[in-house]
Amino acid sequence: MFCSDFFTKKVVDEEIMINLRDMLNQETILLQAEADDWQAAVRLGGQLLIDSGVAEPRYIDAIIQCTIEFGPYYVLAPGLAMPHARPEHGVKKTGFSLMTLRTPVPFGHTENDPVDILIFLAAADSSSHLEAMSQIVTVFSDDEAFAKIRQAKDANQINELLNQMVDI
Amino acid sequence: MLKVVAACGNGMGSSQIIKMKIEKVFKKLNITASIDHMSVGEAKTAAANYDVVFCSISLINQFVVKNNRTKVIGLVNLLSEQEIEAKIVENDIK
Repeated sequence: MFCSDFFTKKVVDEEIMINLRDMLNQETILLQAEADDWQAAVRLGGQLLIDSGVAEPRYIDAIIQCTIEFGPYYVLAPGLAMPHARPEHGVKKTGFSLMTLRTPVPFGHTENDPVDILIFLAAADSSSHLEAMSQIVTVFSDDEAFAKIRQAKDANQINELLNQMVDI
Repeated sequence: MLKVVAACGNGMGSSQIIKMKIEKVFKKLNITASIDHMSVGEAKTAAANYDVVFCSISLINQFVVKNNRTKVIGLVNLLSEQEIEAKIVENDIK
């Protein structure tokens, strides 16, 4: 009994240690992209989640459906959106992707439009993405880092910034 | 103790970010609160059991609470501790 408890606990701990730095790489970062509107932007950045094997294509449809139903509640701050849906909408494992847009697009938010930085979240459960998400909060609560991400032309610049700002 | 809920479209992302930020601000203001997070669908039904509901400004119309207890606060910038603090003070939450 104790052994199985220990094993379960250990697996959970390993899941919790998902780090933003490990999630964002050449494959999951797309900088200075072009999209005509918010749906095109969600499809383009969401494709990175599909290509990196963390979500099924229907996950992107779910994000668009949720946005139409509830509005752009995931537009977190001026210019910044974190599109996501729920685990049962086709998440295979927890992951993130980052996309910046050359030309910002409106999401229909009363005050934070237009958006040019999008962090896509695929959460496999309610907790394994929390550490990475608190790193996102740290990075984007810093105006200087925000500006650097907005201007970045190369994924290495993003990785360098995360290395500077995120411990562990 | 103050009962607070952070709500977002599906309870996975933005509501947890709101929770992280309001925890910090409550601590700064020395307000003791228990903070849950959930989707707007769940929160609509549960709202009346809470003193305060925090959500994105784009969800504020989802909440119609007819009691004298529950305050619904819509946030524009979910990352701004200044905005959260100003709205806590403005709504006389303690």
